[in-house]
Amino acid sequence: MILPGSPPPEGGQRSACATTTPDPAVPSVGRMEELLIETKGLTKRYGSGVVAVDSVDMTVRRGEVYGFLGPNGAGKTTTLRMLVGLIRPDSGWASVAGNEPGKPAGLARIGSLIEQASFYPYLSGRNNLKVVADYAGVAHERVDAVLDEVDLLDAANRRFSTYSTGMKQRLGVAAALMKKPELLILDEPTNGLDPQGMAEMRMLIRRLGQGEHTVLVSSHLLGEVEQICDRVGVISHGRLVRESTVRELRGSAALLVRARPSDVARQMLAEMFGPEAVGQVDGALRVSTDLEHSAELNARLAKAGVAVSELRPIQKSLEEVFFQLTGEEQGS
Amino acid sequence: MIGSIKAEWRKLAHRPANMIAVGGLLAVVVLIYSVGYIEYTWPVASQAARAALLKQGLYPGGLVKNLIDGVMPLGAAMTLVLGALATGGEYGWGTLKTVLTQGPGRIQTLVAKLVVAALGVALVTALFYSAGAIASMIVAGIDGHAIAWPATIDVAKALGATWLILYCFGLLGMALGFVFRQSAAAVGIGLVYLVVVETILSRFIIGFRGGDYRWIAKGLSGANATALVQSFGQIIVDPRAAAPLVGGTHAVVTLGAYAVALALVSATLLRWRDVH
Repeated sequence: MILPGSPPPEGGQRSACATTTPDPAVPSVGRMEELLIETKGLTKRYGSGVVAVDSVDMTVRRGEVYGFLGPNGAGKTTTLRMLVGLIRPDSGWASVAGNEPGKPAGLARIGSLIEQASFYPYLSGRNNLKVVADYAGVAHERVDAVLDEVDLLDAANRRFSTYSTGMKQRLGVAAALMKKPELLILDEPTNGLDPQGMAEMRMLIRRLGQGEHTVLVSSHLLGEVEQICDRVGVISHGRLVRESTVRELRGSAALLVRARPSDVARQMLAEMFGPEAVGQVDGALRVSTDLEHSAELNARLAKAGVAVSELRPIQKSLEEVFFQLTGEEQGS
Repeated sequence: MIGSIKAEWRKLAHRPANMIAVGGLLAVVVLIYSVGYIEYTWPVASQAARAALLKQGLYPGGLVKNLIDGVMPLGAAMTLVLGALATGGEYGWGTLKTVLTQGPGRIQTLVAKLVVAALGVALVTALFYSAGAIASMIVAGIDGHAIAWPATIDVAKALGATWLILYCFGLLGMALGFVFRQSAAAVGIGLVYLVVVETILSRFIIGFRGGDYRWIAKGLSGANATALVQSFGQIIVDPRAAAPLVGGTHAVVTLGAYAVALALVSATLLRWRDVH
């Protein structure tokens, strides 16, 4: 969606109201090839003045599994709906698969599952997918292939209304795969699934991400995102508060050192790694350094007569980072 | 576009509500002829002469006059409900988002719905008259009555008028489905409008200030549909009955305008509103 005064997503995709003046903020075509999704200042307000999505700038690169993380009501689904053209932003712009959101040319390259899988309850799984195939302009031969991919061939002739929640979600993924899309947008695909179903869905997403697909998956489940995603965007109260790799998000590696006498150990470590690298945590010392220094650190402390009772790597969990970023209370 | 039409047809053809409605319509035809046959063959003594006239309508020659009475408001109400279910259901089940994310544009999706609705109504119209024709042949056969069909042009006009009325009210139901983004309110308000509001409004307007505002009533959809039905004449002319409000041609033009306007309302709502 290109809005007045906003940079267009790609050359040749300008709307009538877009400026034609070159803008340094406009991504080059080469960069667009790398970014399957790019948004700038994407904003959606609702009638009562509620800002559901507030100036979101996000990028999803070709070939990655991108986790869109946020608590319930943070604006994940609204953002994804804007990306597939179901709702219009109030300001900002987005380029999805090189097109304005909702344009048929872009949608032809996208498979999506937004919120729960929605199909006609009176049609069988197979007939529902035939409907999807007809709309998408895909041959019916593809229907059984995607049913097989999500392990639903045996239930293909059953009415959708008789499917379990897990089967419904898998049918939703099958529909998303119908077009052999470059980009998959999956909104909370494990919602409502039992633990086994969640594990299966995670495996499926990981498998898809290892193939030719780029996957944008939203979730409020941190463990899920940590397991399957290369990069993460964290959204809170409509704002994208952080976008980085999972490793970057969790912070740099550090070592926890519990040693006596503590003040001698602290002085030695400060000399070795610099004073800013040494901190206090839970009655022990936290040293910001690579894990490969642990053996040398241990040997030097021992040689100096410092007794090391505990030496182990420490890293913030994604959960800790998430709660820091979103300001949510842990355990609430 | 062909793909979207195929998809819409698959949905229409498999939907139980549509099957039930068509079955119900055919049952109505059977009832009209079977109950009519019993009533007019063995009438109460005081009604014998009238019954003899009415029985003529059960023979093939009375096909058009006998059946077209069932179109308004019964058939119109049926297609209004089915139209509301067709579009309101897409919101209720959340399937509109499934459809729109597959790639067809919103207007293309609507055009496919309109085309399939037009074809569906044509099929229902053909089935309705075919069932009536078979029933009338059976009645004629039982009575040993000669089989003489109405003029082809009259049958063609009746088919066209029936299609137009059913399609117009089907489009009203579809537009209400888009307005309310659900089936229940669309069906309820649509039926109340068709059966109650139009009737009361029409009578009020016609009677108000000695009929000075009669021209308003001439623009109401129900009044035009009723007039179109009446333009085919009746088996027994009731001298006390009010004359049709408008002529057949006026009714066709007005209903056609309604159909276009309702399609435009649907297109505007689908094109510009967010889909949640």
